[in-house]
Amino acid sequence: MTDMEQYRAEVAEMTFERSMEELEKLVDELEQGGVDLDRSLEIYERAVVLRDHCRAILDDGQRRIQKIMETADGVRTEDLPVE
Amino acid sequence: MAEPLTVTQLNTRVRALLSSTPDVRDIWVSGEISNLTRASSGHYYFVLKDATGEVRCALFARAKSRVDFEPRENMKVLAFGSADLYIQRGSYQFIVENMRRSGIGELYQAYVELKNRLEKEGLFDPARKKPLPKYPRRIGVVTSETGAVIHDIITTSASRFPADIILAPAQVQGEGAAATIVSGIRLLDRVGVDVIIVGRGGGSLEDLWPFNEESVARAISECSTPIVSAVGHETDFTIADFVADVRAPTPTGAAAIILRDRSEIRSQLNRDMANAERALRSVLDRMRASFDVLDAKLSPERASRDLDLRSMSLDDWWGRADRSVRSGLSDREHRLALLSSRISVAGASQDVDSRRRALEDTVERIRRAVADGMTTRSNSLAVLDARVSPMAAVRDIESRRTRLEAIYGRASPADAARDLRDHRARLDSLFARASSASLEIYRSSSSRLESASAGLASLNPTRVMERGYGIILRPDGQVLTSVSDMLVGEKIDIRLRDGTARAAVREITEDRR
Repeated sequence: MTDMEQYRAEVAEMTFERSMEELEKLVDELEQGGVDLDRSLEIYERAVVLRDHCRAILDDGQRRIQKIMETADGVRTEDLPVE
Repeated sequence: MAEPLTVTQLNTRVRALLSSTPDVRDIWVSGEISNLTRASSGHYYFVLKDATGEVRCALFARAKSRVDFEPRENMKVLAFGSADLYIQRGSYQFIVENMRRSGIGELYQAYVELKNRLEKEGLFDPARKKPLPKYPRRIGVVTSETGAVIHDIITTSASRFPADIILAPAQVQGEGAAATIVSGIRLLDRVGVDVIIVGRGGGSLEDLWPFNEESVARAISECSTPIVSAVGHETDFTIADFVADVRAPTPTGAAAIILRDRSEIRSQLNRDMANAERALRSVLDRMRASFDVLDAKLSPERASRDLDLRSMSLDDWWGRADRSVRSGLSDREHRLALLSSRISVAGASQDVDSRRRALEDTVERIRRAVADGMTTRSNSLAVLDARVSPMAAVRDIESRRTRLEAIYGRASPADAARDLRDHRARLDSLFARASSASLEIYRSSSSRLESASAGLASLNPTRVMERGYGIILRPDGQVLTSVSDMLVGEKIDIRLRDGTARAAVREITEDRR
């Protein structure tokens, strides 16, 4: 597994918030300069992975709307009809 | 006796009398509410009383709509209206047109008392407030299943950061409401959500009352999940609002506070990427600039100047080595010639022989030093050669080009590829030129070394000694090359091809030059 593949796998597990933070950190590092070409390319590649991950989360229109209740049998969750 | 009136006639007359008397029309009356009843028609009936008297009152639905609070038993109020007679009963009543709270009603007093107590306890302390998650994936909502609140939250959140919504239905007004709100908060906290909205729509102080109860306040403060309150309207603050981590004026406001707008997040992502691209470009520009510097460094003019300088110093070095060997030898030749004309060779021959060997050593050392110097130079040239190897450079550039092209696939593949091709071509030719120049100086250096070695061989002092020359030394071994270094009477050693002779200086004559 290449470094980039491994990174991709790591990012897939990241929360949106972590990804955004990571992305901003990378952009900061890149903007501050002082990194060589190889590192710059690596940062950029990672930024692209993070952006794609964030976009995928944003574009995932599937949100669940549910109702949760405590019953004698324990906690029960059911979909809430909406719209 | 006048015609008697019917009861109804009397009541009608009294009613007319009352309504024509300004003293009891459009007046403010203060009192405390009791015997409150609310009819299904929306009318309110109650008794206003003070310490010594009471009056029946009616607050009709139309007038109730002007009252901004919910009348409650024992509430002290100021009622505006007129006295009127209820003809059917013959009793008079006060028809309330509007009403205000007067003094501090009991509810309000309870509210203030609880608020002060919890505040003193530190429940409203800003340091206790938990920060809201930036991008929550699961939002819990404690509110009525049928009210507008959950609907507003679902609608508002649709265009925002995608998050699941989990409703814990609760009763938001009336008897027992507080208990359902408390268990909703605890349930959501237990099953795990990122943030909880607790709310209901606007209403009177009484409607909002569950959110002013201590049990709800405690449940909010004990909840480990951040809570946003969305109770009532903009101006009313409930105790729940004070304890919650964030107060939203409305349920719609709560959804907007918790979830960032999706397009706003998208533009931030795009901004971040644009910054990353700009920064990367500036790195590439910097690289280009340093390629230019490298280019200048490796320009053929510059390279040949460099190599000229190098060969000059090599020449210089050779010249110096050569000269010192030559001058040493010619001095000795001269001395030997002088000596051989003056003294017997035989006695000194042994000493001279050992001196000759020493001289041979010296010359050998010099030759080795010269050779070492050449080797060192060759090595550093070899290193330079490896560093500027066009093949390695091309491979490196090739891999960068591949990566760059992959990355710029979307941004500007044509630009990036062209840039890189340019650089590569330029580097190829530069490295090729630099490398052939290096080889050139190599070749000329080694041929010069060969001819210099040949020159040295012909100057080999052994051969000179073979021709009858000798070397004069002080007994301490120092070679004497000038009569000015000698004293009359001083002992000297004369070293010839096969030995050394000890002699003494008798007379010194300096040559005129």
